[in-house]
Amino acid sequence: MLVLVALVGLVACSPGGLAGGDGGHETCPGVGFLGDEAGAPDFDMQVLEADQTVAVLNDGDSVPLLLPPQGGRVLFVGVRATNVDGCGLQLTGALRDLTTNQVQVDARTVNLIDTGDGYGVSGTPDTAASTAISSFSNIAVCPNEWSPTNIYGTPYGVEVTILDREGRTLTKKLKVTPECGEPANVEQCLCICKGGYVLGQSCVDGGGE
Amino acid sequence: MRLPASLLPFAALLLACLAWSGCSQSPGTAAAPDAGDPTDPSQLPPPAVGAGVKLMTDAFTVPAGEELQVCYFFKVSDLLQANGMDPTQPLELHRVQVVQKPGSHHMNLFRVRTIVNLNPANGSPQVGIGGVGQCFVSSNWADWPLVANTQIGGNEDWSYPDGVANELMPTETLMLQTHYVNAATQGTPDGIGQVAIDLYSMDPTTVTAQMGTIFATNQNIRICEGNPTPSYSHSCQISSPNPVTIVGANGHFHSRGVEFDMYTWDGTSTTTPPSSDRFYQSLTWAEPPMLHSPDLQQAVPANGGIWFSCSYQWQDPSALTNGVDTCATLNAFDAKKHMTPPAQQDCCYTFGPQVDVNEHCNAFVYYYPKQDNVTCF
Repeated sequence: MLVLVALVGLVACSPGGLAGGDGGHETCPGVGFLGDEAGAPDFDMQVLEADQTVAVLNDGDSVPLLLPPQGGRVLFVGVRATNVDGCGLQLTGALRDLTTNQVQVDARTVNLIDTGDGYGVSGTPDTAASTAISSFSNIAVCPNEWSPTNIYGTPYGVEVTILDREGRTLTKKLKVTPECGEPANVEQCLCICKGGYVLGQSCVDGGGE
Repeated sequence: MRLPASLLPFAALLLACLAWSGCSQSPGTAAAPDAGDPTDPSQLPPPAVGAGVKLMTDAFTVPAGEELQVCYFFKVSDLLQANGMDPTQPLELHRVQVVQKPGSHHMNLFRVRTIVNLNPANGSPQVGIGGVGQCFVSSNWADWPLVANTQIGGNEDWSYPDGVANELMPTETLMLQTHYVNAATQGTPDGIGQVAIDLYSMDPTTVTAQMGTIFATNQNIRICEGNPTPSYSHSCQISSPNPVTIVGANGHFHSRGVEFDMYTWDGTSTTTPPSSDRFYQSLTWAEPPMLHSPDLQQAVPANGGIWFSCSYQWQDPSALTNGVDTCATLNAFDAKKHMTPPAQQDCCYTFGPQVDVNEHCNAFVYYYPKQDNVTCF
């Protein structure tokens, strides 16, 4: 089971409620516009690693399939973004089968964490698990009932779109290779993420490859 | 588990209720006519002998301020035998009639698969109280395919389209999960919960298609004071190489829920489908629409699926519960359940079963012809 409990600290949006209006929008305590309002939005992708750290995701990287509280396996993909409103940002993440073009999608409203350098992030090393996993796109890919190939060890496309409340938007795409990322849960991961998995089939003795 | 004194009579009933089929109708029950639209579970007659099976819970007390979630287990072969059917043959389920006493938060019927910590071998029923107990832990049924569900009191009676059946094998065990709430945002008027279900079979030789189901649950959600109007969207593949037809749907969230939408989806797009593809909308969390055929018949393209979205409005828990729960209550839950440190607690409603302090975003969908049963996290 993924346990990200060691992560402590920064606040995505501190307690205390909303702090007035901003062009008709509510503002988040702790985060507002990030960077240059005249600049083009930009971001790097972030990923939650199995060792509970947050890493920048680059083209060709491996990404960990992690066990979330609800079961299955998920890729947690976030952003480090600038020139956008970090309050109430729509974050959409997707994993695409590059052979079939099929995709798994998760979209959510998040408040980025203002890092004070014109950027906001989905998570920092100080972010608690509960806050982090709700501020990252939870791209649920296993049980694998959607891709004919094994999710692990196969290149897939990861796609992330940000959309702020003023309509600033940007989409980026990378090629990544998901891997069963938690040593303690490898056997079940190999079973439920394999191509051809049928819901409820036994994963006793692995059941995977 | 230690039961409150007010639940002791119920506990006695539980003890008297032997094993998996102990709470079901007695074997050999005489055929009874269709009673129309009964609203009291005890008045729901069983299917005529040989025409189906009946599942029924005890009538149990739901004390004020409490939530009970009770998991009953039924072996299909026992149910078949109890109503004069061959216990070695599948039941081709074609009609589901559910009658619940008022106050039901939900009733879900699942096929038992991987056993985690909710084991039929430990007896039936298994009771959860106030969010505590294995019957409340959703990861226990993470790969248990959905058979039927409802969220409304009274009588829900649905016959599948002609020729469509959901085959239940005699070796399978079913879990009937009933959740009653007698708290601030939802009440149980009589203080008594009870569910009865009739599962009617059809002639196996006339089955032309199997029913498939989707249970989709988006659990990493946080509706916080500092992010008060979030929305969460999720895709769910059916992965059928041929088009399928959705014939049943309902969505489930709690009182912060503002809008629940479901769309048919092409399986490749990463944006919300057009409104013309929306086949379900709920604006009423407590009594969400239960859509089914013949009113609902929505085509899904080959290799497509569904897209579902939940939108929320954060509310002050003190105002919502007349002071019973406060931000301190929510923060304490956040700390205990999710291990969120104080600096990041923000009066958040997070995923969980307790209606006053937790939220949900669950979709239930029925379609045919079946490709597979689908669970989406």
